Formats: sequence, C-alpha cells, structure tokens
Amino acid sequence: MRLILPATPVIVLASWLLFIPAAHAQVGDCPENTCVESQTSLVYNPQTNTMDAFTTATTDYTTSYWYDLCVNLAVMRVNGPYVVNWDILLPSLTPSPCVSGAVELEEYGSVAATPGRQYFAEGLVELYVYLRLLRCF
Amino acid sequence: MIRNLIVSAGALLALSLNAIAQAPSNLSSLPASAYEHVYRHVRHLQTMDAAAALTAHPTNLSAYYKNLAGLTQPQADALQAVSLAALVELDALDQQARAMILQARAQGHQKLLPGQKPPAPPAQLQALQASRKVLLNKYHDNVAQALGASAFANLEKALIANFKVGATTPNQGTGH
Repeated sequence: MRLILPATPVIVLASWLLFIPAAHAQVGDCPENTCVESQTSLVYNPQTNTMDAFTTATTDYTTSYWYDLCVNLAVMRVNGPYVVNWDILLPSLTPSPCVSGAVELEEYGSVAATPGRQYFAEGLVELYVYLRLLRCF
Repeated sequence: MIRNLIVSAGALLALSLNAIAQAPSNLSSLPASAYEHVYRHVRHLQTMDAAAALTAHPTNLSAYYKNLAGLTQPQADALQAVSLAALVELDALDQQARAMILQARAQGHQKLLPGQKPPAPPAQLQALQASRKVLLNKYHDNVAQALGASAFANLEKALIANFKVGATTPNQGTGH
C-alpha cells in the first residue's frame, strides 16, 4: 500500500528565445517540519538550440525517514496560441523510481527548441510512505 | 526584438494529483532553504557547460544567474564558488542522514496495524537537521556577502518573482 502525500507541481512557461527564471515551490513548514521543496527551471540554450530543464526536490530528514522521495520532470511544447494544446516532449509523466531515504533528488533533460514555439516544464514531486500499513477495506 | 517572452504560467495544467502552488502575495524575502535549489541549479548548469565543452557545441548556460540578476563576472564567479562549497557540505550531511535513515528503516517495523503508532525517527536526525539549517543559513549569508547588497537584492527579487508556496496542506491521498 502506498499513500501519496503532497505533490508540488511547478510550471514554467517559456518562449524559445529567453532564459527562463526558475520557479520554486514549497509545501508545509520547511525545513523544520514535514515538507517538500522543489524548483524547476527551463533555460534556453542558444548554442545548441535546446531547452534545458532541471528539477531539484528536497525534504527534511524526518520526512525522508517516513517517505520515499520521487521526482518527475516533463517538458511540453505549446502548439498554437493556446496552452490547452501541447505535446509532451520529455518524459515522463509516469512516476520515476522513488529513492528510499533520499533527502534530495535531481532530474534534468533537454529538448530541441523550435523557433516561435513556447515551452513549459513541470516538476512533480511525490512522497510515498515506505511503511506498509495493514488495513481492511 | 525578443517576442513571446513569457506567457502567464497561472492556471495552465493540473497535471498533479493535488494542489497547484500559488504565488504568495506578501513575500519579501526567501528562506535560506530556497537557495539550496539555486546552488544545485548552478552546479547543474556548470556540469552541462563542462560536458558541452568536450563537443563541437560549447555552451554558456552558467551565465544564467549572471543574466538573471545582472551580476558582474566576479559576482557570478563568486556565486558559483559559494554554490559548490555549499553543496559539498550539504551533500556530505545528506549522505550521513540517508545512511542513518536506511539503517533505522532496516531495523524498524515494516508493517503497522491499524491504529499502531509508527516508530519515531532516530533522535540523531533532529540534530542533523539542525546542522543542515545552520549550513543553509551560513551559505545564504555567504551568498549575500559575496554578491553585495545590491546584486543580492536583484537576485532575490528575481527569485521571489518565481517563488510559489503550496496552497494546501499535504494530502494524505487514498490508500488502496
């Protein structure tokens, strides 16, 4: 049995010609209590014409004692003027392997940049309790 | 001219299971812990540049924070040096904590009955966490000192503009 604790998505929407400021998210009373912090950035690399996405996630030590940390990073390209129409270029929205006892995780990836298109990146952080709870349903 | 700069990131996609982080209305400074992510991003960008330097397409991603905050090259170099120094200490502490956590987990209870209280985390973790907080505060001060008041204010302002605080308390989810 696994319980999902918090998810802290961070969305950065970018054009292809710009260094994009990073977004930072915080849940809970970090860093003393149960918490997750994450930051996702999307930086345009003019030399290689790629978008470089990077996510970090941290928890406090007590939290990492109870929960396994998981980080997923995705980069999407917006098709047309409306953000409702987009393609996922970088996997994955499927959960990556969680790391037992981890207090910090990083994920990164690059996608090719198409002129005139907009991109955004999202880092999704999840915590899974590692203890197996015996319950009846 | 640069076109299509930044489109509002609000209310885009609810890809997560729970809450979307929302921007605070009255944030005037960032916690020291927020700068850890800057340190890690700085190191990542430097790593990317180092890898690219071995190819036919060298990059200059390390200039990201220099451009973001309008830093001089010496200030940017100082930010990089402080970042790397901070991560050496933080990573060492994290490694120590993780070893302790895994050891405690291996010795602890793996199954709990309904209503049964889980075992408390090792007391040493609290001490380590306190040490981590001291480290984060120390390197936060180091960054401020290395950049100087004006440049640090510019950096913090840029970071705050993109800082979001979770709008909800942790969701316990649904077990299955």
